Amino acid sequence: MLETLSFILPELSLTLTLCTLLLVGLKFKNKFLLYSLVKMGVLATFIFLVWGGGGYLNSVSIFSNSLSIDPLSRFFKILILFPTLFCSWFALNSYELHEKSHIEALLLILGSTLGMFFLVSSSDLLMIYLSLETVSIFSYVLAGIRKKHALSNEASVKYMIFGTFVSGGMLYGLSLLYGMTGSLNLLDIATQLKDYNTHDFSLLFISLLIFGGFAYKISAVPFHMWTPDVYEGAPTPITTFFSTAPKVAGFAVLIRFFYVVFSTQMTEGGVTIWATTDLHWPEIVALLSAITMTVGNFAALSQTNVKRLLAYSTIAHSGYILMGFVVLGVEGLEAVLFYTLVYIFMKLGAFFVTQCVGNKFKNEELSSFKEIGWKSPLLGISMTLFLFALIGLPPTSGFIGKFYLFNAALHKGLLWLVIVAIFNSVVSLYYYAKILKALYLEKSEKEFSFTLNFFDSYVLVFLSVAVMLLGIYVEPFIHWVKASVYFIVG
Amino acid sequence: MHSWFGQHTLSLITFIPIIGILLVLSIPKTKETVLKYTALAFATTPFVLSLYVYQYFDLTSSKMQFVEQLNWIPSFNIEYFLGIDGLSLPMILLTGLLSALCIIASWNIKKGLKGYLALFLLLETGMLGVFCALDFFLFFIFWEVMLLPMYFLIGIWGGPKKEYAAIKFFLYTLVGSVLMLVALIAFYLNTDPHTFNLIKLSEPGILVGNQISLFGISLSFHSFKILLWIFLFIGFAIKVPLFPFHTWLPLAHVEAPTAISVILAGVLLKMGTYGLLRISYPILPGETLYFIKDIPLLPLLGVVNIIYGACCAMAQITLPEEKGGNDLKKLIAYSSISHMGYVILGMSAMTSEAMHGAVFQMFNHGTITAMLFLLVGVIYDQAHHRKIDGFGGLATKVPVLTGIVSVAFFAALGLPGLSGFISEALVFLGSFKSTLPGLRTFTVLATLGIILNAAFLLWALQKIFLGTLNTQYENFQDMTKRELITLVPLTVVVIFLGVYPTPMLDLMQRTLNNLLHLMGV
Repeated sequence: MLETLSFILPELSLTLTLCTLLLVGLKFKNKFLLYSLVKMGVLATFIFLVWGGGGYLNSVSIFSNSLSIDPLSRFFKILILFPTLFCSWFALNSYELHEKSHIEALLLILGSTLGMFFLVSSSDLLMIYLSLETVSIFSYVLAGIRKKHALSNEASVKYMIFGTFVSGGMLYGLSLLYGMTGSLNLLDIATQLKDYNTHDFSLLFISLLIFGGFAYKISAVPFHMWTPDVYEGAPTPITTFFSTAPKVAGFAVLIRFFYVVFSTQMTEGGVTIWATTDLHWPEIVALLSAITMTVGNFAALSQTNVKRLLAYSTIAHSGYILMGFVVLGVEGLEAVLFYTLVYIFMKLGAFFVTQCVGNKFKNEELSSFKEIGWKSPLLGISMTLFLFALIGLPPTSGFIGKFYLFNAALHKGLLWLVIVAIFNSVVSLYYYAKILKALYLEKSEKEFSFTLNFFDSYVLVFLSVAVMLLGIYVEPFIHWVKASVYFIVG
Repeated sequence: MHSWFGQHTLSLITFIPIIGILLVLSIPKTKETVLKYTALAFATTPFVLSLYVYQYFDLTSSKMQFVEQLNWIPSFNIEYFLGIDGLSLPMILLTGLLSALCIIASWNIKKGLKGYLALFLLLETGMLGVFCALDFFLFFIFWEVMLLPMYFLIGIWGGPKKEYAAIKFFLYTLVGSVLMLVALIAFYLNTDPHTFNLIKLSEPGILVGNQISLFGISLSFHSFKILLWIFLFIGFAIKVPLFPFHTWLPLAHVEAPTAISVILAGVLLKMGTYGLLRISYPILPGETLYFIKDIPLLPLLGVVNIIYGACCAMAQITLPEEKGGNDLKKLIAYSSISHMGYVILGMSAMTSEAMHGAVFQMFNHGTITAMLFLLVGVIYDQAHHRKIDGFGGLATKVPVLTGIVSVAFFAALGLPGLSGFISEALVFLGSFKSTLPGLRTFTVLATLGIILNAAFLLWALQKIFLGTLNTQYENFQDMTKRELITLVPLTVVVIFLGVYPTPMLDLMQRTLNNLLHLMGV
C-alpha cells in the first residue's frame, strides 16, 4: 500500500498544499505568503514528478489499474504545473479579484489542478469521468468567482449548463461502452473491441458521444460555443488558467482514450494508422480540425475585446493541435505534445500582458492597448514575441510547434489539411496584428505612464525567454517529448 | 583562412548586427549621437567583413566557400549551415553596403530612434542570413525574421498610409512564405535520409516519393513536384515582385521612410530572384524547365513585368494626383518592377550570358534603385512633397544634385558606360541567343521596355530639373555633406562597374556556369 502511495506523491503533495493553504488562508491574507506556499507546493510536486516513484521513465498501473503513472502522464502533469503556478500569481494581482477572494481562487485553482493530475493518468472509464467532473466543477466556480459581476455570473452558469449536457452525453456513451464490453478498464475494452463487428452503428454513436465530452474540454467545434463568453466573463487570471491547463489535460485524455481504445497499431510504410474499426476517424477528426481552426480564426477577426479575441484564438489553436491528433502515430503524438508545451507559454504570456493592461485601465478593450509599446517597452516587446509565436513565425517556438504539426500531417499525406492550416495562419496574422498595431502604431487619446513592478517584469521576462528558447534550443525538448511518447507507442 | 576568424566569418557577418542591437538597447535614448554611431559601426562591420571575404574568395571554384556546418536540431536533421558562392557573395556585398549607407540616410530620424536602429539591425541580420544560409530550414527562418522589423519600420516611421502599407506587406509576404513552408516540409519528407541541406537537395534524383492526394484528387509525384514548384514560385514571386503579385510594392515603397525604401528595393526584391536561383532552379530543374519551355511562364512574366512596370511608371507622369499619379517615389517604385523583369527574363533564357546578366542586374538594380530612392528622399526632405510637376528648373539652383540625379537616371535607363547598361545588354544578348522556343520573341518585346524606361525617366528629369525655375524654390539648397556621403559611393560603384564590370562577372562565373550545367543546359 505504502509503495503504491509513493507513485501518487505528486498528487499527495498537491493535496497537502491545498490543506495548508486553507488553514493558513483563514488567518493570513498576505499575498506573498500565500504565493510562496503555492510555489513551494508546486516545486515539491515537480520534484516528486521527476524523481519520485522510481524515476521519470518508469511506468506502473495502480489502484486496480485505474491510474496509469507513466511518462506520458508525467509530461502533461509537468505542463499543467506551469499554469497553476503562474495563474496563482496572476490571480493575486488582478484588479478583478477582491482581496477576500484571493484564497478562494488559489484553492480552486489547486483543486482543479489536482483533478487534472488524475485526469491525465486515468486509464479507466470511471476514473476518467470522475476526474473530468472534478475539473469541471472547480472550473464552474472559478468562472463565477466575481460574485457581484454580471458577466462573471453569466460565464459560470453558461459553462455549467453546457458542461452538464455534454458530460451527460459522455456518461451515456461511457455506460454504453461498458455495457458492450463489460469492462471499465481501457486496455480490457480495447481487447474486447477487437472481436467486435466494427460496422456496428452503435460504436460510431458511442465514440461520438465520448468525443463530444473531450471536445468540449478542448473547445473544438461544434462544442466551442461556451468558450468566448466564459473567457470574457471570467476574471483574466482565471481565463488564462482555462485556456491553458484544462486544454492540455483534455488533449492528454483524448490521446490516451482514443489511442488505447479505438486504434490498434498497424504499420503501413512506417506510419502508424488507426485500424481497429471501420469508422472513418481520421477523416472525421481532420474535418473537425479544419473547421475548428477556421471558425476560431474567422470569428476572431472582428473582435475588439482582447480577452475575447484570445478566446477565439484558443479555439483556433485547438484546431491546429487536432491536426497532430489525426495522425495518431509517433509523429502526430510528438507534434501534439510539443505544441502543447509551447502553446502553454505563449498563451500564458499573451494573457498576462492583457491582464497587466487590464489592471491599468480596468478593461481589456483593444483601445486600451494603444501606445503601450512606447510607454512600457518590456510589455510591448514581450507581447510582440507572444503574438509572433501565436501566429507561428520564427524564430519563436510557435514556429517550431507549427512545423512539427505540419510535418506530421504531411507525413500522413494530409496535404489539404496543411493547406487549410497555413491559410488559417495568414488569417490569424490579421487579428494578431491588430494588437501589434494598437501597441505601437496608434496614438492613445489619454496621457498616461506605465510602470511594471519588479515581479511582473520578472514573470514577463521568464515567459519571453521560454517562448524564444523553445524556438532556438529545441533539441532537448524534442528528446523529452520523444521519451514521453515512447511509452504509449513504443 | 584557417584561423578561427576565417572559419567563422559568415557567422560574424550575420550576427554582428545582433550584438549591435544589444548595445543599442542598453544606451540611454537621450544620447542620440552615440546611438547613431554605434548602430553605424555595427551595420558597417558586416560590409567590411564581406570585403575580407571577397579578398579571399576563390574565383576558380564553383564550390561553396567559407562553409560552417553544425548540427542544430538533429532530430529533424536541421543544420546550422552557412556558405557562399558566386551567387550569394555579390548579394552580401550589396546588403552590407546598402545597410551601412542607410543608417547614414536615417540620421534625421527623431521619433523612437532607439527602436528604429534596433529594428534596422535585426533586418540586416535577416537579410545577410538569407544570403548565407545553405540549409532550407535556416534560410526560411532568416527569411521570416525580416518580417517583424519590416512591419514596424514601415508601420511606425512611414508616410500617411503607413498602417495599411505595413499590414499589406506583411500579409502578402506571409502568404508566400507559408507556401514555401509546405514545399520545405515536402522536400524534407521526400528525401531519404530526410534533409534540409540545400546542397544535398540539389543532387539529381534525390527527391523520390509516392502518389499524394489533394482534396480528393490523386497526384502523381511528378505533378506533386510541379505543385511544389508553384508554391515556391508564388513565395518568391511575391518578393520579386512579379505581376500579378506586385500590388504591395508601390504602396510599401511609397509609404516607407527613405532608408527602408532603399532596403526594400535594393535588397528585399533580390531575395525573390535569389530564392529562385538558389532553391527552385537546382532542386527542381525539370519543373523549372517545364515552366520555361513547355509553358513559357517565367519569360512571359518577365516581359510583362518589364512593360507593365514601365507603363505604370509612365502613368505617374501623365495621370493627375487625384488618380494616384504624379508621385516621383511611386514612379521609381514602378520602375523597380520593370527592372526586375530583366532579371527574370535573363534567368529564364538558360544561356551563360543571360544568366550573368540577370545576376549582375540584381546587383546593379540594387545600387541604382538605392540611389534613386535616396535622391527622392533628398528632394522630399526639402520640398515636403514628391509631385513630379511641382518643381521645375531646379538645375540652375542645385547643380550637384542634378548631376547625381542624372547619373542615377541614365544608369536606370541603361546608358552605356554605366553599370545598368552592361547587365541589360548581357540579358538581351543571352536571351536573344537562347534556343528555347519563343525567347527571341520575348526578347524583342522586352526591348520596348528600354524605350519606355528612357521616356519616363527623361520626362521626369526634364519636368523637375529643366525649364524655368519654379519661383517657390528660389532657396532650394544643394546636397549636404551627409547626403553626399550616402550617394557618392553608390555613384562610384555604378560608374566603375559600367566601365570595368569584370570583377563582378568573374565572381559569379563559375557558380552560374555550374548551375546551368546542373540544369542540363
